[in-house]
Amino acid sequence: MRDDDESSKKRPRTTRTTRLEIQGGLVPPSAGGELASYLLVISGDGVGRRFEVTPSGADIGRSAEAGIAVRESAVSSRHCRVALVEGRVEVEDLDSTNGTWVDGRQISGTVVLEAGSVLQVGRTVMRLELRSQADVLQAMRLNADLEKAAAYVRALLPNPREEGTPRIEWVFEPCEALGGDAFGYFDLEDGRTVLYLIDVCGHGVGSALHSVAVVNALRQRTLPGVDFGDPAAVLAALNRTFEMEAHGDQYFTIWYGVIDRERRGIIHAAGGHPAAVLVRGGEARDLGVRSPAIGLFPTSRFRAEETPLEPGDRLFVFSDGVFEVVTRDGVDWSRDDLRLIMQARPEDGIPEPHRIRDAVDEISGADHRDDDFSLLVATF
Amino acid sequence: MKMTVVEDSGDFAHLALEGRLDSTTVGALEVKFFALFGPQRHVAIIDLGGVSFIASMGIRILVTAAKTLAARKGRLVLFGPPALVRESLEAAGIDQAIPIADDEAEARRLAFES
Repeated sequence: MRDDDESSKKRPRTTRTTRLEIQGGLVPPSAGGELASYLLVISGDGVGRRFEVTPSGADIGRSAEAGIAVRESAVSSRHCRVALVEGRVEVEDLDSTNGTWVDGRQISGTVVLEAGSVLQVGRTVMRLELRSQADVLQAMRLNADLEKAAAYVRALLPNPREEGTPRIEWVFEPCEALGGDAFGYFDLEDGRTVLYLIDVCGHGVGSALHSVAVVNALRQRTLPGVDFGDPAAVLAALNRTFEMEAHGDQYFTIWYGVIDRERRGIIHAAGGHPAAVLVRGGEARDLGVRSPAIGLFPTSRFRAEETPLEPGDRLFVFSDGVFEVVTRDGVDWSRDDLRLIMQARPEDGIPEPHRIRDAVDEISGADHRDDDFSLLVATF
Repeated sequence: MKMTVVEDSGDFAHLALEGRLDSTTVGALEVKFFALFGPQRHVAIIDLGGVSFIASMGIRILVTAAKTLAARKGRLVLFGPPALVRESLEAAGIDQAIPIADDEAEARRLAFES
């Protein structure tokens, strides 16, 4: 990137100083048509579902008879009720066990929901929207297409490995219907196991398309002349294949490891990706070799490291969305905080990825995700 | 995210970014940001002192700007990122191709050094 040609170093010819401020903002919703009130599920059970709020109202609850059914154990069978009253949307808690929350505060009795307000029951979060019916119809068609695409991305993810060594479990929760994270694992001919996780910049359709292209290249091993048991060679080949200028300015980060049970070790490399965490008897260590993200620079070099493994080790591989969260107190959390949670003893009956996810959600108190949450746990 | 043009002398620009550089804020300002890297621009320094968080989309616009200037045999230098932001930039490996200075004086020196 740097250039040492003297003639190219141009100093400013004049010093005209100006101060210009440009404020960022959100695009306003489209106008036109008669507006109606809708609850859009943005997190939890049935993300993307949209319900019109009418004067006759609807119950929200776990019961199949509820107008807005939420399949969650933390939600009461009749949890709360929403209705349009004199042009305003009202929500009433129906003495639910775990409470009804509006904009992060537990309500009692009936309150008015403003456009943009966030309603939470259990882990499911809905946002109140004011939109025209034509607008909503178009959004529903798009949503149906997105759901098909999301189902395809999910179909590419492998099933958890409940038998053998290592046992592999995971959590994958995109922040939108389509995210930029993906992962996989497969066995090489010699019995070693490859495990990887990628995170394409951004999220949404463009990122998901790119992640599918990368995952397919790895699953089908279509990188020419590459030894998939050599993490540094795989990353170098991906960097050549997925140069960002040739792929809509998309780049991605990756963690890639090759587990050798016979040698009791793992060879691993990372391209711009957070280090994985290996926990052994309550002690945690990072498995990460710092190299640039994939696609950024054609001149990037990659190297791998080998780390011994022992029975009982737990290996956590994850995307940055797992730790780049803001706590309830407004403090930016860090990877070191996440490590402490990973170091803690597993809980009986709770899969490790779920224990970590629930702990992170408890700390952030967030009603929705800002980034994809992908976490793989391999137990040896 | 807020963007301030502190100095613009045609060939050279000194910009300052503030706030969170995530997909939402970057999306809203991307066009205006890249408009500042028109054909006349060769050297730029960007003050990241006010940036509280940088996500992958924020990194992408910095890399693209650096490549744009490098293609003209120019240079982009970043300076003053808070520790967490510096950590994110280094984790993505962009410090291997884009200089990151501690302060403005060092950034100007790196931007124009031969």
